[in-house]
Amino acid sequence: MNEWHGPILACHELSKFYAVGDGLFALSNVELEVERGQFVVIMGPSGSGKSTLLNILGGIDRPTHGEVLLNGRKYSRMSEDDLAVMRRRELGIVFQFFNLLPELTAAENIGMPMRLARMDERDIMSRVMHLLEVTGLTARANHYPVELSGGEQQRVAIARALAPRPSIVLADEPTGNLDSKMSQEIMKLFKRFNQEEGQTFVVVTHEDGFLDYADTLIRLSDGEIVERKVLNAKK
Amino acid sequence: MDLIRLGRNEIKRNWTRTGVALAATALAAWMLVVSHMIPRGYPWGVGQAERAFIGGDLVVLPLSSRVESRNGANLTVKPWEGRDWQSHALYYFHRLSQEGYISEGSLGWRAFDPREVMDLIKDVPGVTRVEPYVSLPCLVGSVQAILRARDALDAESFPLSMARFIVEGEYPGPAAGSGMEALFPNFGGLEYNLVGSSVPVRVPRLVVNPAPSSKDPARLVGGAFGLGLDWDNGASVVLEVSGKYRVNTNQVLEPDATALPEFPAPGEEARFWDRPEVFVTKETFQEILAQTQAAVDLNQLPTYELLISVDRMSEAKAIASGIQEKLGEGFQVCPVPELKKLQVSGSALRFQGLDAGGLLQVQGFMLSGVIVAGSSYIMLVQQKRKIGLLRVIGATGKDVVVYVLTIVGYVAAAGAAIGFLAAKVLSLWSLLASEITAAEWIKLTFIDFISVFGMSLGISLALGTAVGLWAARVPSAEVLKRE
Repeated sequence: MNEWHGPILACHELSKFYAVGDGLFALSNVELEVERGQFVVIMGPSGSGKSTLLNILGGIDRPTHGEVLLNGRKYSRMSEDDLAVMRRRELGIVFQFFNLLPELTAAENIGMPMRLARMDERDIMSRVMHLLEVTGLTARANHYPVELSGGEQQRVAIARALAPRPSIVLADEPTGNLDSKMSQEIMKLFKRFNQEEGQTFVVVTHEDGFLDYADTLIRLSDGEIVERKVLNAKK
Repeated sequence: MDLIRLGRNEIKRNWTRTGVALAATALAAWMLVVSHMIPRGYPWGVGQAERAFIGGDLVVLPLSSRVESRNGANLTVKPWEGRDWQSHALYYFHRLSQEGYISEGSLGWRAFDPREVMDLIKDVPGVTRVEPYVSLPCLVGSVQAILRARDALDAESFPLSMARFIVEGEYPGPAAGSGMEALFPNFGGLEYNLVGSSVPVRVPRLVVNPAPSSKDPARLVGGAFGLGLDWDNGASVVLEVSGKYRVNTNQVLEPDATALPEFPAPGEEARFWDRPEVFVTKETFQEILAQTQAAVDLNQLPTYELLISVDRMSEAKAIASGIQEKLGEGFQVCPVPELKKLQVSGSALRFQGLDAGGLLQVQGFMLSGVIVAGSSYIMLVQQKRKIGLLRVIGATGKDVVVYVLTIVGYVAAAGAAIGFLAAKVLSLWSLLASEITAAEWIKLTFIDFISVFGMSLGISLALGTAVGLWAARVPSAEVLKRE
């Protein structure tokens, strides 16, 4: 399916300017390359541009300047429909506040991106069952989000992001709304998918615990990358 | 698909708004079905005496049916050039002879060849019989009267029978030998003619003239003729009184009146029960025509009025509309029962308006469609973040439209079903007291079902598509709001 051998995700001269008051550069000339299978953690103080960067990488927000490439394809100027199609196949996103569809059960939430991608129903069911098992939610499959704890909801959100086997998963403060025990579980879950399924992760977080699982740390300050650090060699 | 389930659950979660939309759709559906139950005609017995005397349930008159114009400059007031013996027009339009009528450039009052018009009318559903009104003025002694051709055989069937108005003797039979029989009025100065007596009657020669107007008559169905009367070259015939009648519904003539009412002259408001029609069979009428040496046969005689019988009075208005549609603007189709109503109201120059029932039904569904689509729009405005999320997890604009149409479609279908069922339960009750058979009720139910669901879903989905296209433009960035 994928013949691109370069960085799975890259951005060049990426800037985001907000014309508010005197104007503000949320991002300024950011250069970033993420290799396939990497676990990248982006850290930085509040207002450093972490979430802005992640939203632009996810195609949710648009840069003022610069280009973003996923598997070598530029997408920062794509139409909403093209972006939607690209996301359903290649890019999963996890939010801090889970963003589950309250009208659907856990299993239906996980299956939704695959159904939007018109995948075969048997494949969908098998993938949903697998993800429910991996995330420890088999018994909660038919529960609605309101009936799940915060940690369970986030695991459903992660399973949903991973369901269509995207090339990369972007997560914005995935543990920001969870207690430390639940945060550990989520971190382990990410690492498990990273190691077992070779999934690429880019995680924006304040949580130092993620550093134990990450390959690369990117530190942002005032919209600029101030540190790039290789933490662990890929096994 | 989960989008459909998502839409369904969305409806349940927003019950208040959904309830309003459901109620609006149900009401529109209910109105449509109930409007079909309301007869587009009259109760079976209404105006029966008038219908019997006139000889039909509806009449067709050569008057313009146009009552208004977008361009007022085209409207003209035409003088009515007719005479009372030609038709029953004065019983509908009381001041016609004084004030004329409003027209939009049509040829106006004229005699027409009934055959062409009858051909057009006979296939209109519900029409059972079409007859021209055949008459001549006459003098019975010195009393003005109207000699009318009407066979007993095809006119004496209930409920249009004249038999119950015959106070003495019987309806004239076919002419036998030299005797020509007639049914005489028992009023208007003619009541002194005894049954069995012979009465001398003076009849003018009828002269058929071509179009009385410079307007092109070719565009009018049946053409246009003027019927002239030549009293000097008419004929005097002797009619034998076979019976006498008096139409005594609503108005009874004073039996001891010494001064007999004068025949209504043009310009005077006609009084229906005084109309002195002397009934003879068509064969007798033909013979009289021959004696006047008129150059026209009864079968080709132009007429000023057609008499139409219908199979169901409860559909009389609908049938009248059907005939009006066939004949166009040069004719006016009037249900006979309206005569009575107009007489009571005493209004002048009354014209039938458009049947706006169908238009109102569509408007009802338009309104409910707007409410359904509007409530969906409000729902979606509050759910923009959710649409943004759907975009993030891979929903295209088309998927979003499907999601919106699911919501709209369910509400419209559910509302239509509620209204349809409620109205049909009511119509089951009405079935017991109507002329409609069970088979017809089932057919009507099927038509109602198609109409209700077709209109409800069609209009709501059309409007919902507009809302869906709006929702499809909601960007994925909406998911970030309130984050």
